[in-house]
Formats: sequence, structure tokens, C-alpha cells
Amino acid sequence: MLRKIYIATLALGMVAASAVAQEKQLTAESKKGGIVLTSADKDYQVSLNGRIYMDGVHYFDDKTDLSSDASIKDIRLGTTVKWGQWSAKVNVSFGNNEVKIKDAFLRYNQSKNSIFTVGNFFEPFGIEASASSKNLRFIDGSNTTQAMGIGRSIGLGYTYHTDKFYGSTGLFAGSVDNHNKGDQGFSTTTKLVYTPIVNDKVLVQLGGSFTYRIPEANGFNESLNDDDYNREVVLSAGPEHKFLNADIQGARTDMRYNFQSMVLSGPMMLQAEYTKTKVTRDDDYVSRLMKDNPYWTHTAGGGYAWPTKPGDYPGWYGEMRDIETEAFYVTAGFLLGDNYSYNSSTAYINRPKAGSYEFLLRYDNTNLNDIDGTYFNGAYGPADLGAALGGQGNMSIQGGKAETISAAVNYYLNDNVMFRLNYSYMDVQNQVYPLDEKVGMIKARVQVNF
Amino acid sequence: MKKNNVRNLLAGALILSSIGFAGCEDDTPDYNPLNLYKTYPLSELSDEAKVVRDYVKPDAVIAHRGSTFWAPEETEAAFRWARNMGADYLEIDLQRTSDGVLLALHDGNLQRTSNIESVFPGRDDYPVSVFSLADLRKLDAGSWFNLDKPENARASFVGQKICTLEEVLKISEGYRIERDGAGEPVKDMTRLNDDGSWAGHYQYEVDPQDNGNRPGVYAETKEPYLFPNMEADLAKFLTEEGWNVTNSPKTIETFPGKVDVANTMGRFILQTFSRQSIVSLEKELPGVPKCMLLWESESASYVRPSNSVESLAEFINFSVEYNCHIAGPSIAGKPNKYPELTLPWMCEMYHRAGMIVHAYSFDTEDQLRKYNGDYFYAGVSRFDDENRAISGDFKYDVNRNMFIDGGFTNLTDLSMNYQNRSVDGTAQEVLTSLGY
Repeated sequence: MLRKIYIATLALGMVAASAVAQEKQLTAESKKGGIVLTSADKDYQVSLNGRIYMDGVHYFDDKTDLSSDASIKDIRLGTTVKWGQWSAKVNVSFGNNEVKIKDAFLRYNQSKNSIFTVGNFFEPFGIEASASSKNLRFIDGSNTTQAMGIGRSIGLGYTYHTDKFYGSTGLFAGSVDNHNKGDQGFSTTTKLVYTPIVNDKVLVQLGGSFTYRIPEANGFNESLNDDDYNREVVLSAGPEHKFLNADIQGARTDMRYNFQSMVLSGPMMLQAEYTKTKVTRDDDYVSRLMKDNPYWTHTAGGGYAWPTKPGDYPGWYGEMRDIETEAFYVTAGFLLGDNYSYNSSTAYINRPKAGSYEFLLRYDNTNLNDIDGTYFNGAYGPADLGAALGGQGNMSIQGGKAETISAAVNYYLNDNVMFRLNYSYMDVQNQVYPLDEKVGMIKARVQVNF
Repeated sequence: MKKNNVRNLLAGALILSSIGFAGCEDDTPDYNPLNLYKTYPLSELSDEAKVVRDYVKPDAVIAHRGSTFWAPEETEAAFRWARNMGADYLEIDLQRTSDGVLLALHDGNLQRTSNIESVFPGRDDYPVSVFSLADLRKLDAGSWFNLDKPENARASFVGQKICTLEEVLKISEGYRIERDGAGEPVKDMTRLNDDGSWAGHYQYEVDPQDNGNRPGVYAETKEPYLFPNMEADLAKFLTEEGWNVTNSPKTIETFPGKVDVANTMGRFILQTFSRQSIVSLEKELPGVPKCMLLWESESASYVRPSNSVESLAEFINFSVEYNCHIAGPSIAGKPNKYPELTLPWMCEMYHRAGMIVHAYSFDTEDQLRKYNGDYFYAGVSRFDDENRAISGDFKYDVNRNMFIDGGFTNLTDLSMNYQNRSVDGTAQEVLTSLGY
């Protein structure tokens, strides 16, 4: 269905372009390997873009089966249109036999460095989480980013930048992929980045991001009360999102703090991020819902209902306390054939020039555990063993912990084609997968973008 | 420039094709219980615990509720039959009356196994613990069996009473309930309540049909929230009755060629599904053999079918930590179709931890043969030929640890015959000889 809409839009765009072209003469040129049609007065521009990711991955040392395979991980087709100060971008993904809307927004470029955006676009949070996947240093973002990064949402944003300063903020509704019943969430996210040191020898960037979110609803809970629903925050990362997977139910708000830093010096670079996530929870969500539908049991003295008072349910199943998790990574890079250069309009590194080889090393430490109870056979009970054996529950979150070392080689054939080879070694600690300790994986990608 | 490009392209192609070969030799075995059970980390029972484990005789025949097939379960009839039939243990489920008397009764309420609807209308779904012993003695706990299993019905089962733990111990010691000319139990009027009313106990007499067998007792405790402090009550009661092997156990006379378990250190075995009860039992009755009963369900309290190796290991390690000497897994097959927790690899795990295996519950000869490993030996049982030979290429090292060490059975007669042990007759003949 979406594919049809996309093709129709594209066709319309082409027709519109050709219609406009009748009014304005359009010259076709190739910019950075892509096709761009520009009007003589430079006021109007249409460009077609696309990507192909051809991937292969092989896992070894895994006790839980992971699927090694080769795949066309992603295909993107898109269009960018510019009319004077306005521009629009549509980008659709056809990877893994799914159609997903990626960038889809309208932009008002008030000036070169003051931009308003409305639509589906990256929330400004962190380095990797707000960068396009084609520009990442590794094939996948770090586990830190996979677990706690945000990605795209539908909303309204403003970005301002100078040579040394980059600031972006936005107000967002939920994800374009959310099809659950129940009210959508919303979020406000801000990223501020400053490069205090900029000279011939070195560039140092420091920044931080913050997001305050109301998570998406997770469908109605028909058995309890139709008008209420469970909000859920899932933090997951790693191969098939198995070994790092925290499913936080009964979430009320979700706040994430991110600190970022980059140091570029000639052909060397250092990039690091630290993210902390705090999910506050709805203490007595189920008790409130159960007030209309309590459990009854019959005893000699008559019947009783449970829960009878606020606090009964969390008192037995465990307090829904706030959950805090954190993660960080550090990447070091070395370029052969070029020097690293910084783009202040995106607060990110420019793509190395054609013919360059890039060597990278990354250490990632992601901890999705927030535990204050005792563990037995797949469930948590209170720290007091007697209470735990009696059946009381505990709402600890056990999402797993992992330290990952990755190495990468990137070869930039030209502006449009690159080859990537990654190796990762992941030290896993996850009670759901007690036999998986060391997981290795090797990935390769042929990346085409225009 | 062109040369560079070609070289670079080749380099890229080489890098790409290297993925195919890089991880080719993957020597990690697939995640599969058969690859993991031998090496999965397990604790082992301490030497002291193994001494207690060895109180229990090998190949124990455990009469499940006396019998659920030949006589109304957990009644005097069922226990006398199991004793005379030759069972090593009389198996019971422990409950407690409102006045603190320990009972042998399985169900949470009395609807299935008594006529409670007629005697206490409106209270028939109440738990047992709300009734006093005297009240419970008003119930007929035998007639239901005649309707439920008409092929095994006997007139004498009518009026059978709910049994106390004390009565089970007495039956095992060779007594029976004294009855008057009309067949009614004789009340023990020396044991009265504070208000002078009869407390519900009956008088005993030496059983004239006793054939000298002295079985032990295998008692199950329930979740503590149902019967708080049951474990402490049990410890006190057993000590008073001389059945607590760690605290001046009494001497019970036994006879050559007859079952003598009641006079051994293994006379009383504790069993439960509840981990909380295990912890209490270890506190109240340390040094008494204990069995961790196992069931399968996708929840924290049972062995999870979704990851059985890890889940089983959790239970085994917990059992070892709290000195459970025996694993009590369920077996598959008709008529009960319980979950399968007695597979060979599972038994090897129980044994690797130092435990022995008492599986429940055996109703057919096929089940006895299967879980004693006969089908690896061309159907020859260990009891027929101790030196039986493996017949077939099973691709693994068939060994004794793959099979059970004892079983709960509803047909003691079947188990006795399977083990080639001498019996006083068929099941029906033994019942008749007992006066039923």
C-alpha cells in the first residue's frame, strides 16, 4: 500500500517537475554521484536519491542460535525538492520486505543556518542516533545508540548553527511505525553542541542532549478497563536484539540524558557518547484498573476481593519503581588518504574523500539492568528470600549487560560506493541466556548511495 | 588511476568474500539439551547430605495415596492394602484441621472424595482447614469411589473415614482402627476437647490381618500459605510419635522376609512442590530425607518447558543448597499424561548432582519398563537379568544414571510383580483377605 503511495507521489513529483520545467528551464547535472535537476535561477531543484545496503553477517561462539545470513538489508528511494526557501524530502525504505517511511518532511530554510522542519525526521539526540545510517562509522550504531538512541519521529523542529555552535530542538508526537491502539506518546528533545577548540591542528566538540518523553500506548487492556492502556519502553540492542533487551512495562515518562564528545586531529579522531535513561513508572496502574474487576475468593467467613486498597497489587507483585540504565561507547579512528573534517551544519564528520581507508576501534559498555531483588528460574522476587519464596514478585528489570569491542575497516571507493568490514566481540551477561557469554560476529556491507 | 580503481575494487571484493570463510569453522555446538546436559554447571550434594540420601533403599515402591485404583485414596482401606501388598512407603498429602490435627488428604476441599454436600450443605467448597476433626469424621470418604470406579467397588468401602497422619503411622506399625460389631469405628473417649466433646480420634487395635510388612511414610507438605507452620507441627508430631529419625526414633519390630522400612533411618521422607516449604523443612527437620517434586509449566515456580536445561538446573541447584536428596519428576504416558520430566538426560542431571530419582506416578507396565530403561536392553528388566546387555546403537553411553531409583505408583501390585518381589496374592485377593 505504502509502495503504491510512494510511486504515485514520485510520479506526481516528476510530472510536477516536468510541468514546472515547462515554465522554468531545468538543467540536469550530477552532484556527488546523484541526479539533480536545477532551474536556471537556482530557485527550484529536484534530486533523486537512493541507497542499497548489501550485507553479510556471520555469527560464531553463540549457544543461542543467531541467524548468519546475507541480505539486502536496505533499499532506499527518495526525492528532495526545493522551492526557494522551502524544501521537502521523501525517503522510503524497502529493506527486509517491509516498507518503512524514513525521512518525510517539509523544511523552511529561514536562512543558511536557521531551519524549521515539520514531518518525520531524526529527533536531535546524540551523535549516532541523529546521523543517517549511511554516515555511521560502523555498519550498525553502537549498542549504546541501538538501546537508548531515538531515531525518527513525527514532529516539529528548529535548528540553528554557527561555525562553533549547533543547537536543535523539537516537539514530537510518536513514531511513524506505531500502530498500537491507545493514545500516542509525545516528546520534546534538545541537542546543544559546541566546538570550543577549532584550529588547524585539532577540533574539540562537546555537547549534550536531553529528551523528555511520554511513551507510546501499547494497546488497550480489554480485560481490565477499556480506556486505559499500558505504556511500554523497550530498550534493546545487539545481534537480533536478544542479549540486550529490557522491556519496561507500566512506564509513565521516559527521560534520557546524553553527553557527547568528538576530537578530530588530522587523520585521527575520537568519538564518545554516554547516555542515561530514566523511566518513571505508574505505581498502581493495575490496582486502579482492577478496582472495577477485582479477584474474588470464597472463604468460610464469606468472600473477599483483592486488591482491597491502593498498594495491595504493588505490595505483592513488587513496587513499580523508576528504572535507570546507562551505556557509553568510545570510538577511535584513523584515516589513510584524507584528514577528518567537521561539518558544523550537522555537527558531524564529513564523509572521507574517495580512495580513503578508515580504520576504527570501538569499545561499548551497555547495561540494561536495574535489579534490586533475588532471581530464580526466570523471575525476580524481593531481596528478602522468605518473601520471594512465598511468591511475592519484584519489578526489577533485567535487560542484560554487555561489553563489546569492535573493529572496522571502511573503504571509500568514491562518493557513492563504499565497502565496510566489521568484527565485534561481545561479552554478554544476561540471565535469560545464561549459556551465552562470548558472542563473535563478522559483518560486511557493500554500500551504495546517491 | 584506472589501475588504482581496479586494485581497489579487487581489494573490496576480497574483503567481501572473506566473510564467507572467516567464521567457517564454528565448533560451538548448537543450543540443544542433548549437547548441554553433561556440562551444564550443577552443584552437588555434600557428603553429609549423601549419607542421609542413602537412608533410602534402592528401587523403593511408593504407594501413591495408598492406592487411587483399588481402594478409596488415603483411607484406612487403601493404606492397609498398600502395607499388605508390600509397598516400601505409604504416600500421603498433609493437611491440617482447624483444631490442629494432621491429616492425610489430597484435595483442597472435600467435594470429590466425600459426601460433604449432604453433611455440610453450603460449605462443600470450603477448604479442609476450616473443619474440626470431629466434624470431618461425620463424612463418608469411601462411597464416592464405588461410583467413580464401579469395577473396583466394594460394599465395605462405604463409610471409610478421612485418615489422620497418626492413623497412617499406626497402620504402618501393624495396627488398624478398632471397629464395633456394626463395623463402626470405636471412638477414643480418652481424648477430648476442652469443652469435653469428643476430639475425633479412634481407638486402635493390632491388625489381625497384618502380614508383618512395616512400610515407611512419604508425606507431602503444601504451600505454607495454605498451612502456616505445618513444618514445625510435623516436626513436633513426628518426634512425639518416635518417627523423627534425628530425635530418638522408636524401635519398630520387623520380621524376616518382610518390608522393614519403618524401622530404618529412611522411615519418613518429606516431599513438596513448594520451595518455601523446602526451606522450612530444612530448618525444622534437617537430616530427614527430602524430595523436591517437579512439575512443568511456564512460570517461575515450575520447570519451564521453554528453557528446560537452565530451568532444571535452577531447581537442582536450589535442591542441593537446601539438601533435597531426591528429585521427584513427573513421567509421561497414559493414563495421567503428565509432563515429561524423567527423560534420560534429565535423570543424568539429577544424578550428577548426587540426587536419586523417585518419579510419579506409575500406572502401567510400559511406564515401569520405559523409565527403568528396559527398552535399551531389548525389553529385559534389570530385575530379570542383572547382567542384561544393551541392544541397539543408541549413539550415547547408556548407563544406570539415565533411569529412576524408585517410583510412586497407584498399583503397588504391578510394581511388586515387575520387581519380582513376592506378594501375598493379587490386588483383589489382598483386599479380600483384609476383610473388604
